[in-house]
Amino acid sequence: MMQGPIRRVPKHRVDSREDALLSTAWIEGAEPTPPALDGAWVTQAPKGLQRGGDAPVLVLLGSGPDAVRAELLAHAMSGARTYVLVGPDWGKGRVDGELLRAERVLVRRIPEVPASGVMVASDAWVWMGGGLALRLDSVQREALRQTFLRLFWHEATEEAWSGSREFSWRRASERPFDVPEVPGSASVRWEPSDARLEADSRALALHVINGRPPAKAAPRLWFPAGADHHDQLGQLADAGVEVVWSDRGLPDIQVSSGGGEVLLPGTRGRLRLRLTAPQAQELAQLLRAPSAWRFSTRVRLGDANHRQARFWLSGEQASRGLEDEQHIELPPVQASSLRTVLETTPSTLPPAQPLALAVCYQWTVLPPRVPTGAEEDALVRSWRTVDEHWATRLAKVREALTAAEGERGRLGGAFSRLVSAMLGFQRTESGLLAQAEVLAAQRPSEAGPADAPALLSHLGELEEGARKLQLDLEEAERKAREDEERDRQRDAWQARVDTAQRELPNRREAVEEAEGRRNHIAEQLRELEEGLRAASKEARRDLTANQRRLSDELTRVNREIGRLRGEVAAMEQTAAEPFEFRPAPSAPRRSQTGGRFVPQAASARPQTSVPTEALPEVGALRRHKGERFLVIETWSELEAGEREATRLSAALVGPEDA
Amino acid sequence: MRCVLTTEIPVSRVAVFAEMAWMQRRPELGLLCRAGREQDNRITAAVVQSVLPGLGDAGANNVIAWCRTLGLCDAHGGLTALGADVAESNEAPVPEQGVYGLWLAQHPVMGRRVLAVERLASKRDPRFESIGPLAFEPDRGRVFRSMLDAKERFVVRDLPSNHGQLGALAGDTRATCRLRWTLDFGQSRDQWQLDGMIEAPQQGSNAMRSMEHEPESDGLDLWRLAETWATGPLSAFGRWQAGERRLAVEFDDLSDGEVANFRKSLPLRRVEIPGRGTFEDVTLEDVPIGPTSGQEAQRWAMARFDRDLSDKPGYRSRSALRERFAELTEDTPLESFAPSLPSHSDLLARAAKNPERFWTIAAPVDLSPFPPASEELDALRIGSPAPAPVVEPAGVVRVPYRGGWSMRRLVDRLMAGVAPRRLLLCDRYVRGDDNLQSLGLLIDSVRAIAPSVGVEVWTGDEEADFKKVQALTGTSPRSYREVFGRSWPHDRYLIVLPTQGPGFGWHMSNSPIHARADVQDAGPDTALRWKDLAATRVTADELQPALRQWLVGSAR
Repeated sequence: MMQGPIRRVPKHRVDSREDALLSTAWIEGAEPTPPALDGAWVTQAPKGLQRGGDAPVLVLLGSGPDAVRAELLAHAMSGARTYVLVGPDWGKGRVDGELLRAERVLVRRIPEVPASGVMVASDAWVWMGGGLALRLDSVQREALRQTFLRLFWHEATEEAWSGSREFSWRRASERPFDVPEVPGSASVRWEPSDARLEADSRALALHVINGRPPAKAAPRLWFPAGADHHDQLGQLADAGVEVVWSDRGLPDIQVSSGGGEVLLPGTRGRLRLRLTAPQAQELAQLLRAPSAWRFSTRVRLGDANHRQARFWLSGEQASRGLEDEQHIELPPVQASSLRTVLETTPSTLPPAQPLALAVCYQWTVLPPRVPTGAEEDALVRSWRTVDEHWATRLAKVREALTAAEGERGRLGGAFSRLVSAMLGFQRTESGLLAQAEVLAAQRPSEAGPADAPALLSHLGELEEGARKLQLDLEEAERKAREDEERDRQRDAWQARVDTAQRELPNRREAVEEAEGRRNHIAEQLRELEEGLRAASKEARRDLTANQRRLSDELTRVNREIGRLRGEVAAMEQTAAEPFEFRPAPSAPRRSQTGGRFVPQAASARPQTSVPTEALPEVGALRRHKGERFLVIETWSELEAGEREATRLSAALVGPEDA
Repeated sequence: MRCVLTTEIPVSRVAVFAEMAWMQRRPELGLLCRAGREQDNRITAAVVQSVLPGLGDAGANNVIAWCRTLGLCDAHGGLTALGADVAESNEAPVPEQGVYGLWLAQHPVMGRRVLAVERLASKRDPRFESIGPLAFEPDRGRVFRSMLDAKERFVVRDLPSNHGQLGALAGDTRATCRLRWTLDFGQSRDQWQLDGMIEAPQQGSNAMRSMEHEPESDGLDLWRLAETWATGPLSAFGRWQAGERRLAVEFDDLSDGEVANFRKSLPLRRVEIPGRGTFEDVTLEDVPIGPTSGQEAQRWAMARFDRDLSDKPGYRSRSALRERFAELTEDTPLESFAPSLPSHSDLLARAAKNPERFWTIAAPVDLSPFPPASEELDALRIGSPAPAPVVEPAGVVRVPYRGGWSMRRLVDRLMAGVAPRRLLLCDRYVRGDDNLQSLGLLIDSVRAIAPSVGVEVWTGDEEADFKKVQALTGTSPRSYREVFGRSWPHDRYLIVLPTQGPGFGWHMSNSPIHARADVQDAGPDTALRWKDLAATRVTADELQPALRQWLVGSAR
């Protein structure tokens, strides 16, 4: 059984392939040393050509060996009229200074030089590749000359001559005559680029450097080792043809007992040389030599002599050796359940590379994981709601009890008459707090659907007790305040009565004094009015002024008398007023949040719906697209997880990043 | 050869009493003079009566007397030059007398001429003492054409005078007159013309106008004149060869153009034309020139040859060089000196310092598909038959330069004993009368062997007359453009399809139709004048594709 967190699991498997067969293959061994040729017709070290008399020297300067250049320089420096055919890029870089100093060298560029060769009056050599030069007989020499003339006069694009500091290239001048076409029967002929060796049933050996293998081949076929044409080569090999290859830079060659031919490579054309019997015999030595590559069919991988060999298989870019063990990384495999992770394998295994002696497959098993984007299941949310509701109510209760404790202290300090009552309140409060602490240690979700309703009921009772304590405190305070108000009103009434009784005599005397002053002024006014009637005009004026003054003073005294009489009446009423208690108006209602000095306990027991299913013992319950997943994190939760998943009708999965 | 002689002629202006006649339209006199011209140039009573039917003899004689008075005929009725003029122009002189202003000029070429005439008003003139002798009398009875108005023609009939002393009042004139006399020796034609300015009184007292004068000819024998100059002004430049009508000159004195054109311009300080006076500073242009000796001719020929190689650089086969040398010397003053083209090796030696020339000569010989015969590489002497090759390889036919072969001989060699069924001549230049005449000889020669042979021609279509070719061959020729596209062959080919056996071709350095017959009505057996021609027999494989296809197609 696995331990630790749930993660993907790497797995592997090894198969042996010692007995596997390759249908076809080029097998490379050590490269043997090629035979050294120094015959009369084919040689790697041609003797210098002897120019006869005033005859010109004709040179084909292909991309051949330095020997051609040496021949060219030797003849050019001797003063011979030397005609050279070069490729289109010749002379665009650094040019041989010796050649420039030569007296008589005419160089013409043609699109492609089919070969490297030198012709003098009585001798001619053609370099055929691989460092080998072929000496031509007189017929071949004349045919090569005709080919040279055809290229020189019909194909040249630019020309230049020696004798100055550099070659001054110019467009090749028009030919002065036509050069006849070289007939098809000529022993040397420049042919189209798709030319091929002519089929010869008497051929002893065939050396082909490109194209397709021949349908019928000589007993020994040299064909470039590679990825192509394995089917045809396999048929030839099965038919008994020895198919071999070593890249020695040779062109297409066919030799038979009576002759043969050489077909030089080229992109615009190919030079065909028909060989004489002596030439073919010398070339045959080369084609009989051992080779580095051999083509075989039905090759067993486990053979001991194949251990160090290199193989070139059909369709492959390059050759390569055997591989002891091939490691193949397979894509991850999804397990159907957490329980089956260890037994899960890929449905199919890819084949190994053909040159592997063993193959090791490696893959990773992916445990089932909760889908990305899965959400919390509704059951979890329901239980969380219940728990949150539980915690909220419990917190309010505890807050109310805490506030009641503070209020109780305040009331005890403010109302000495309540001291004894406060001791009773303290005992009630302590009991309620102890119950709240007990409930705070529990959660409905942990209790499950069976015990959660009892817990909630207990909480409701606690809330009721806290609410009652709160009401009792408020009632005690109200009564204390009312008694204090009554005492205060009584003291104020007594003070008012005493003051009125003390000030009343003074006020009454003041009324009488004012009434005397009013009577005196009225008398003076009447006397004046009488004197006015008899007074002269000058005296009247003074009397009139005096009359107005007395009239104003009388009005003022009447007002004073009125005020004093009112004060006397009020004092008499106050002195006779009985005591009456008037309760203080109730304080205006405060806002809901901070109105009461004790937090409001829930007035009614809230209704909390309890889920019918319990939460899982392990893992997290998630839901995605209507499907329920139970996510566990470690393999140790597997047993319980499977049980809970069954109960909850959920799929058991690992975490998303497993 | 030509030259232009010029001289200034003084003009005098005089007022003189004269009897003049202006040529006016008189158709009846023109009719009469034409009738007289047709009757032995005589105006007789019968002629007059034929023109004026019903006129009596007396009347006819009166008409003749009047014609004589007018100067149309002499006392015997013979038509005068003036009468012949009237016959041509229908204009007859109408006499009048009065005082006239005359512009006079004289020169041996043009005689004593009245260039223009002005009628003057008759009035009392107090300058009687100013009348002086007349410098010269104008020709009388000769019709002059006014230089002011070409339509005005007049005749000075008489200059009446007292006691034969001609008098005239000399006047001032600003008129100028120049004689330009063009002698064209090659055309044997001379032409002279007057030009200058002259007063035009009708347009104002000071008005001047250009003279109007139609060219006239003096009728000189120019080549005889050249002979007279040979010992005079020409002797400083060379030796006049009357027979060849050219001047033998030293080669060293010649410019490139003179070497090329065989023409030279000679500055002559003074020349004299007998009876016509002398002329100064004459340039005798395009004088035919030639060498003075054979050695000079050889130098001249090589100079032309070198110049030609420079002007047209490019590779030239030995046969092309020989042909070109012949073209540059034959039918020129050099030919009679028989210059020689140096041998191939000598030419190379001459070009040793000129690499381009060297290679254009050397490469075609070194790199020839058909190596030239040694005789062809030897020197070529113009005008002399080249030696026939001592050894002629199989499949090669060489016609030596001026070998005297007939067309028949060539055809016999080319057919090689086979009877041709069809024949194709591939030659870019089947055009021109000479070539077509030789083509006719070729066809006649072939048909002499195989009367029913079909002959076809492929040729360039520029300047070619295909209808003429078709008239000779019986088949419509095909153009090079059509059969070869852009890959035209350089050489000529004669493709032979025998009645039996495989077809073959002759690859030729020259064309058989370039042979020339020096006689009229030449036939197949006439010896012809040849340039080098080397024909090499080739197989169908060796022919270029179009020719090979013709051979294959024709054989079906």
